[in-house]
Amino acid sequence: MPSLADIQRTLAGAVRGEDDTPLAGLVAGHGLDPAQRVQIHRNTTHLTLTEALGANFPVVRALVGEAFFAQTARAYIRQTPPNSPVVSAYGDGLPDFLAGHEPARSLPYLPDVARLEWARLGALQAADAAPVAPATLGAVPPALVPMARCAVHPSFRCVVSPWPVDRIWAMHQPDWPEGETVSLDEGGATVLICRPRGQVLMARADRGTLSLLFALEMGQTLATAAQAAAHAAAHSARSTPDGAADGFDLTAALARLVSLGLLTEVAVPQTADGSTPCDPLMSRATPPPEPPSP
Amino acid sequence: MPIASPTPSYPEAVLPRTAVGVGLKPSHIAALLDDPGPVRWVEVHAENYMQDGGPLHRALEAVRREHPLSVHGVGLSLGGAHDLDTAHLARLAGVVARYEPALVSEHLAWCGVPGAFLNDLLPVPCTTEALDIVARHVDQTQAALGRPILVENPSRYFAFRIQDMDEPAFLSALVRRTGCGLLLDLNNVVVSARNLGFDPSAYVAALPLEAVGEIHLAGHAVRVVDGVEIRIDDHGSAVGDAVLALYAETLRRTGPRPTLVERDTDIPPWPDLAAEAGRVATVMTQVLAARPDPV
Repeated sequence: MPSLADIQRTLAGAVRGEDDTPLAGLVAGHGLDPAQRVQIHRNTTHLTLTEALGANFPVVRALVGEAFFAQTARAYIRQTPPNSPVVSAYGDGLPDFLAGHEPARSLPYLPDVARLEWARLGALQAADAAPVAPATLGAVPPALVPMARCAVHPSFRCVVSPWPVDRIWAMHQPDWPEGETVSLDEGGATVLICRPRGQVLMARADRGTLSLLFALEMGQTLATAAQAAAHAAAHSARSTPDGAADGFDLTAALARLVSLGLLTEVAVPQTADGSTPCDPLMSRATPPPEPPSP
Repeated sequence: MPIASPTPSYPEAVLPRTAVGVGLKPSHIAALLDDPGPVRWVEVHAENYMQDGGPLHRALEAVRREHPLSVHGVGLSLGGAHDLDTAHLARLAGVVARYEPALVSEHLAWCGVPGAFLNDLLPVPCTTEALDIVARHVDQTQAALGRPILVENPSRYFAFRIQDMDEPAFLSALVRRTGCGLLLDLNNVVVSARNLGFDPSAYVAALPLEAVGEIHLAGHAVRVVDGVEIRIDDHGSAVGDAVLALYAETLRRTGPRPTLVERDTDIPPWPDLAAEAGRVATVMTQVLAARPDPV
């Protein structure tokens, strides 16, 4: 008698469309070929996983159409089935899959649109956190600002693309102005994605601001993070055609991060006697130890 | 910094045995909060609420404050030959701790093999080996959740050539060995009975009915393949007459049980779904009124 593991290996293979031949010894047909009965499970698996991918990537689906999406989903599901029962988070590999998917070659921006949708989904489902109030940074004593550390919202995601992916995405939303178009020649986008409250927000940013966020996320002080941002901004300016290098305006960038709700905490170092040298409301956690300098 | 999982003071989870509810879709939450109509409780799929945060949690928190809630898992794979996915079990425990539901349930089914979740409830052969495995998994789940669960009878589209006992005997032994309860899905009973050729009334009569903590009702589809009728459990239509008749017959044996109308495809507007719960509540009222001995 086959073990339960053997039975399930055989059935899983049949449901995934691999091999129906061993079913006859396992499944009673009751007037049908056993494979016709197992077909019901095959349909359920295929339809519900395709639906899950469509729910997680609605703009990709709209861009390619239902039939093409169903074919693509079938190929992706076969190659990368979910490894978790939480199918509302299925599809992390779809952007890369699309990048290598020959039939989708004529839509070169499609993988980045998928990356944007995946980032939005992650932001929607991320842990909740309250953004800091707009006045928070201004209340830090100027001398302490370089040593301050900022916690970045857990829903922060970003997508950097040579295509205007945020506008391609927006085109497929109900509030897109009628008649407005997106040109693929209008250039790329660095898109910040965040859900400071109920809704997922997107905003374009420069490379300096993005580097600032990455450095803050890693627990760097504002001074160190600002250096990284200035370096990235200069590098980015050199690589643009006009070569304009305006430097990096830390104050303006921070104010923007706060207004976008991307920062959830501003922690300033404590004084030698252990007291907090500013409004305790701003300093809800002890900063992590300074990382060793290289 | 992330806000810790809320520890709200929910009202005590009380679910009257006469309550009729519906499976709650996210698209219906606002309408439910606005006007529940005859709906007295709701059930959600645990897997839809396993993310860390976000607006769906805010919505369910509001629901939980006003209505008895049941958490229904659809992916734990209690019938899987492989070990339970402990990460998933921890996620389920997280949802249960977060919402303090009145009921927690899962299925007598398996959902895939390691590395390939099939997103379906696949049938388990009723063998002694499978019983040992499912009992171990139910024990492990109840230990992780710190409470008993209800286990739902599956829809079957085929019979296994190997079987040591029938399904009521399997479920009876599972109840005896683990102390779990049963979620009796009468639509699944009718679907399986038609597909496999057994008597649905005899199936219900053979169950340990005192262990039934909840009843599911739903509609199903009828397909004809090569001249052979197959019933498909698609939860895509109103509860059919055969299922309602079996419901009345079952209630006469069990007395009142919390009853849920499930609808997962072709989802109607909220007032229509709520009205269907009202029709089921009328059936329960009529059956209980005609019952010879008071419950």
